[in-house]
Amino acid sequence: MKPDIDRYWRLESPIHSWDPRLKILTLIILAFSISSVHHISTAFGCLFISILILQLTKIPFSFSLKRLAAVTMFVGPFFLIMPLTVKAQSGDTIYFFTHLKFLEINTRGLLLAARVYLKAVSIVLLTVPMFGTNRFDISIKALERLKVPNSIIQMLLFSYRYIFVFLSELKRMSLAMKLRKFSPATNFHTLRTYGNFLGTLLVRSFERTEEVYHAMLSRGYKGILKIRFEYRAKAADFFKSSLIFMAIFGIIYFDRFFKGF
Amino acid sequence: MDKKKALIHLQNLSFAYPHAKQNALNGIDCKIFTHESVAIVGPNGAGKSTLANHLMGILLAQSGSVVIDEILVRPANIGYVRDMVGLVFQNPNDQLFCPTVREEIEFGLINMKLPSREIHDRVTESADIMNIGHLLKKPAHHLSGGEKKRVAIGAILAMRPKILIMDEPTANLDPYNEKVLTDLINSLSCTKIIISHDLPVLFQTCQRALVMVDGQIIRDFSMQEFMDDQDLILEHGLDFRFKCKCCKAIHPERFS
Amino acid sequence: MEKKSPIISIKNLHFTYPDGTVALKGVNLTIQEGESIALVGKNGSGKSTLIKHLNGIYQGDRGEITVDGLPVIEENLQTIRGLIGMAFQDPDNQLFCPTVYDDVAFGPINMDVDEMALHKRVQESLEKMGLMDLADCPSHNLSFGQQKRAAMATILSMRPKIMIFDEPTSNLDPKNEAVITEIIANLPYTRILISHDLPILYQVCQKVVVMDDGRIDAIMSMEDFITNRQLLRKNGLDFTFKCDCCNGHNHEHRHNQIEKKSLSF
Repeated sequence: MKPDIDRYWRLESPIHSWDPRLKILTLIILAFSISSVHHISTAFGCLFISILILQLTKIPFSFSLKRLAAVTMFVGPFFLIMPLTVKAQSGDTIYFFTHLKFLEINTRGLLLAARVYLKAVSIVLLTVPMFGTNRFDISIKALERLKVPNSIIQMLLFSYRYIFVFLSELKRMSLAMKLRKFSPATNFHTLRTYGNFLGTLLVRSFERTEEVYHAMLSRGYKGILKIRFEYRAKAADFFKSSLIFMAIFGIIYFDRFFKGF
Repeated sequence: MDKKKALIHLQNLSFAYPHAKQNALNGIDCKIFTHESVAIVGPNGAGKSTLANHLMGILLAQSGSVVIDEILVRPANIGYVRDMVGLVFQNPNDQLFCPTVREEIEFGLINMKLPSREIHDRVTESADIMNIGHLLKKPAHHLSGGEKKRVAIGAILAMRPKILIMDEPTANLDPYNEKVLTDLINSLSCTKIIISHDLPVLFQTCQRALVMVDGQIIRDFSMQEFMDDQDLILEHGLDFRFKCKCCKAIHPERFS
Repeated sequence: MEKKSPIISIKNLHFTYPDGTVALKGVNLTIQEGESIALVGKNGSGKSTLIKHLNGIYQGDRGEITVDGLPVIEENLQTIRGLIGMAFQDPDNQLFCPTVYDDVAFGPINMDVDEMALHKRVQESLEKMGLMDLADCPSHNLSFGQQKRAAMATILSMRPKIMIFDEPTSNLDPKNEAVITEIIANLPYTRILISHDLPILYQVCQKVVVMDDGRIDAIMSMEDFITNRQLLRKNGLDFTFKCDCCNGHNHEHRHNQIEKKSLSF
């Protein structure tokens, strides 16, 4: 498990000291409730709560920002597409250009995109306190205690370890290609090169992961990860969880009954 | 003063990796001339590979400069630099990804947009030099370590770089393949830079030795002088002579 | 004289990879406790495949293996894997835990070693490998030489009876090579080394097992092997060309100094 998400597990904070089982369970419920939010004002509130929790972890914000880059790349296009594609409803404000009548810009689409984006950001930011404040293996072990099936845990564990194997292979091979003056173009050579590259990458990653697996077997690994860690939930842990549950109720109450602004 | 133009000219080159406490390169000054064969030696972590990465424009100087054939290495010139310099990776697997050896050698040449006639000639030439003509139709994936290494060098060689950098060319090879490769390297006429801590191999392939320790070139002298400077070798953990017991056992007559 | 029972016995072992490659074609080999064996042979002669049979990572199509009297079969695997420590060539593949300490503890934990004994074993192994200060480091922050030593520590902590090393000194600088060689040479276990590096084999092993094309080609003493130039050459191990550069040095004097040096990491 080459640490990346858990790079800052050694810091000390109220979130770090929170029992991993309660922490993960509580934050997952929070994430689900965020995903159910309908109103943009509540979505702003969720973002605020996520940032608050994140700040409590004392993990540098720049570390979380990297995660946001990925979300932005994925959700960003919504801002372009949704205003153009959302079906007009009564009460919508629609802008259009006098010469391009078919291009209608619906501001409600913009709002929808913003809501999706805010929710996505809030949830992604939560993964940092969720999995970034404990060693990754201890978080995984906590999932096991939460009765997540062993097969899923194994998958998580190995994909986490192997993604780094895969990335390091990818990096070295693509460097070697660049040094031999490869620059992608729209032609058969590029297509074939990518095909070969991908094939070799998979074979190599497979060979290496097999070797890692053999090394684990050689040291008595039986398919069950044994981690010596005492999970002890104290009153403070339940208190932290109940604070978050209050926030969850707040979010749902505000979202359903105040109908936003 | 040496009036000859340097092929590679490093001036006060320094570099630090992000989050590192120490500089990986610390004020490197050095000139390398055409047709020299230069050994870069030093213990693990001395900055040898970092230096090579600067010669290829993989890393760019944070301070100081790298000039290759009178062209400053900077982003705008990277293409030119990579025409001039070829790098052979330590692990040939990082480099080989085509279905056959022939395609592997062709790959760089196609990227250089050479006419197919010339590509064909260069593949033949390169395969002859590296003695891999019989492997051209084989998949590189199934070759032995020594063969892979030769294919990796052949693929770079076909691009006709003026400077060939080899990172640990004999790593993971058995002595037989080491010998084969050493002889092949000796037959190449381009300027060669060899990074290694295998002194016996360097002794046979290089005339000049740059000794690197902690990001600095602490000595720049002939290979013979280097081999004679036992205190230096010993001090920087390059002493391979614990291996000599074995040489003695093989040839008792030489050491009597 | 009472005949000692061998610690490893391999009888008529055959193995074919799923892709159809026949890797072992009837291997017979016995190894006595305390021996240190150099396993040599060309690329693809079956060395790595053979050692992966000893702890049941691969299971032969035919033939039988016993380790310390136990047949290598499913129900004994856990015990046998505790008896055999296997160090792989690329330490990066062997270090998969968050810190060096965890990696060293991984084996003993799987063997259900209790808490107190576990800590002691880990400390001991780290100390032996000179890695005490790096226990809490993530392994990818270590230098290559340190990684190699960490990989060895992960095996020492299992207190095996047999240790197997695949190219233990590859890619190391001479200083780290000397350090690792010295450590291996002084381990009180039965050892099997796969290496191209004849000088290291020469320092550590008394006996040589030569493999060729999935079979055992020869078994002989190290002294006989090293003077058999033809056999050395056949297996690509003729080291002679490297000896040119040691000519003319003052050897005895130097060796004393090296031994002193290699004790301090």
